[in-house]
Amino acid sequence: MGKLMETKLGKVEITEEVIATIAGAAAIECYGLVGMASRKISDGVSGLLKRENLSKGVSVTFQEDIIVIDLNIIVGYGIKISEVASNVMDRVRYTVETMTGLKVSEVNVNVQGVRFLE
Amino acid sequence: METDSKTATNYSTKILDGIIFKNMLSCGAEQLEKQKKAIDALNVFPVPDGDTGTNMNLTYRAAYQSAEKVATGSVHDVAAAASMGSLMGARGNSGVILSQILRGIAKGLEGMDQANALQLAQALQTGVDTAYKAVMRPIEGTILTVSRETAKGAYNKAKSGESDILQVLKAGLERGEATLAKTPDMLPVLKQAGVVDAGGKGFLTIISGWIAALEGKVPEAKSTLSDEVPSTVTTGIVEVGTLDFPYCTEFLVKGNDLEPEKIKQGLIDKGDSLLVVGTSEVVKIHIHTKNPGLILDYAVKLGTLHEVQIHNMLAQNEAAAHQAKEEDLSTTTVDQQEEQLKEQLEEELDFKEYGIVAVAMGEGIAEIFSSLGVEQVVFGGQTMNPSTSDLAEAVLKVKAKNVFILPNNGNIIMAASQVNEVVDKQQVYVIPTKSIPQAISALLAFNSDNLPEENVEAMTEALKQVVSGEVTYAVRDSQFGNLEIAEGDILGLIEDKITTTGRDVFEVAKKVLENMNWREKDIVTIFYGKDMAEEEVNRLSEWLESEKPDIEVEIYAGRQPLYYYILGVE
Repeated sequence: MGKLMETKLGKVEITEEVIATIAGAAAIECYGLVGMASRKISDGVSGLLKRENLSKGVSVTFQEDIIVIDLNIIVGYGIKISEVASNVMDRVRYTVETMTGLKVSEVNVNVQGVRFLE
Repeated sequence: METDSKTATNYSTKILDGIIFKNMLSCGAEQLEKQKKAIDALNVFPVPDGDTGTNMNLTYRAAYQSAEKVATGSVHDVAAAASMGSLMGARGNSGVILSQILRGIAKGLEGMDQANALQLAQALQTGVDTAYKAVMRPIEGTILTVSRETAKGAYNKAKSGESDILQVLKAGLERGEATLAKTPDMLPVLKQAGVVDAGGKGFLTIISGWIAALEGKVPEAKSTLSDEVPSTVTTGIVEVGTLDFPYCTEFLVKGNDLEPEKIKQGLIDKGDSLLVVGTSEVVKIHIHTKNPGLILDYAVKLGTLHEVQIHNMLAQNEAAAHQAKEEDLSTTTVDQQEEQLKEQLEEELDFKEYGIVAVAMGEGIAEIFSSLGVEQVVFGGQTMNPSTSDLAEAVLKVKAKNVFILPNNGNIIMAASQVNEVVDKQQVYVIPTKSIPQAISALLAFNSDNLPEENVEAMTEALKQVVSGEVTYAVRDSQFGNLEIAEGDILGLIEDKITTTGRDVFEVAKKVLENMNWREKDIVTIFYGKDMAEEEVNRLSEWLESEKPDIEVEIYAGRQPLYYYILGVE
């Protein structure tokens, strides 16, 4: 089920997948983030198929009024991880909120890996 | 004094060693410190929170302070220390990118005690390459683009046989500047806001500092760096003995419910180089002041004082000690603040009917608000918009069932209207005030005997009766409609639209008032800024009274930053 917004003219529903895609797209533009780590099997398949999957490594949960976004990311070695994580949180929250008009309660960043870049 | 040994140095710019590089880093830090406010003002991407300059400054300062401690003359050692310092001190997006550029530069200078022009240009290139590696999808039109083109400009020049490092960097800067000017075409959000990229500007500010060092500029004593130093004071040599704020005062305050932002506002006019960071339980305060006693007096009312250190920066040995430690406060976070908010909510049985929260800049305005019944003042304004959670926090502190918010700025109304969704036990009403004079009118229309809806209506209605004007200055060159605006021009605004420009505050204020049709109104309210002299304000009110003797002029010390005058006519 998606997130419903009542307007004067009717309802707008935004699904988890949409929010996950927006969050993923915003995240991969963040500096210091060099990849998303997936824990879903389906992500692995689409990865093999070379389909672009922006929601990879992102999970979105709705609980009543609350939207929680979890991101599994990989950062580059030699970068201050705490700062990258907080930039990702800011960016994702800002982008999702401005694009959907919904309020994001939490953005959790799980740093799943560090990649050597040289 | 300290500067003597450096003025005597007559170095060649064909060879870069650790000492020269340190000088360059230092001049870069000075330039950035001076420009950080202007850079903050450009910040619209990736999140328009107006902190790019501040973040880059903190990051770069960490780099240069770490480099300062290097005892050898090796350029690589200095670069490596700067890289490590910036890694540890990186703040914000641009700060992280800057730390990667510095890391790459250090890598590019690996094993070198000295570098020539070509080697430095290559190191810059390595810096940019390193920075580009750490992002999946680089966004063009940002500091990445600007630094890449700068490096390219420098490299091309060096490859063409130029052996003077100064000329090579200048070529880089030139190309970088040209790229910066094009950033609005690469990133639409910049174009919409009519700005160039803030991070890119910060990067070029650093490079121009490096160039200034090679041109023989002597780094000023670090302790005199301040927010407010006008750019004309770049002659280099500080006359020790004439510092306005000689005492560097630094300490921790521990307590409950500390509010760094509020503390900052409370101290802002007591000195310069003010830095207030921390959490609700521990706040680190750093300020250069005339009278440390006043600062401690102020702080002791907030909580307990710890690790108090006061240095007289006029004494050189103390200045050195002062400089050795400006590291960041490691912040400890405990959820106590949240606990207390919950407790407050439980007391809601004692809640009264009405409470008012208002956004203000300047202590004077905050005091006026308090006197008119505003319970919580959130500090903010054009360049520092409070977030929804800042406002919600203030609302929670007001123990009232119905809370009115006066955002007092067009940009804050949105954030304010979301507060109602965040707080569950209080009803929040937003009065869409866009200026301080509007807020005053709204407050005067408030009547605690009426129903909430009636008050909303009356207060909103009152907004229409007042015309608001502002007199401020331009932080950068720009164009607005038919008006060409140069940095430093005095700007006159009516309802947030620029209507007049000029060079003189008095003249512009007069023109703004004329455009507001003050002659046909009864009351003129003047809130004057913290930098305004009283004679100047009197001159304006005398002019008003001589032009129209029956006008009522009300003058308040708003003590707001940036705005010379905020004017209301009704």
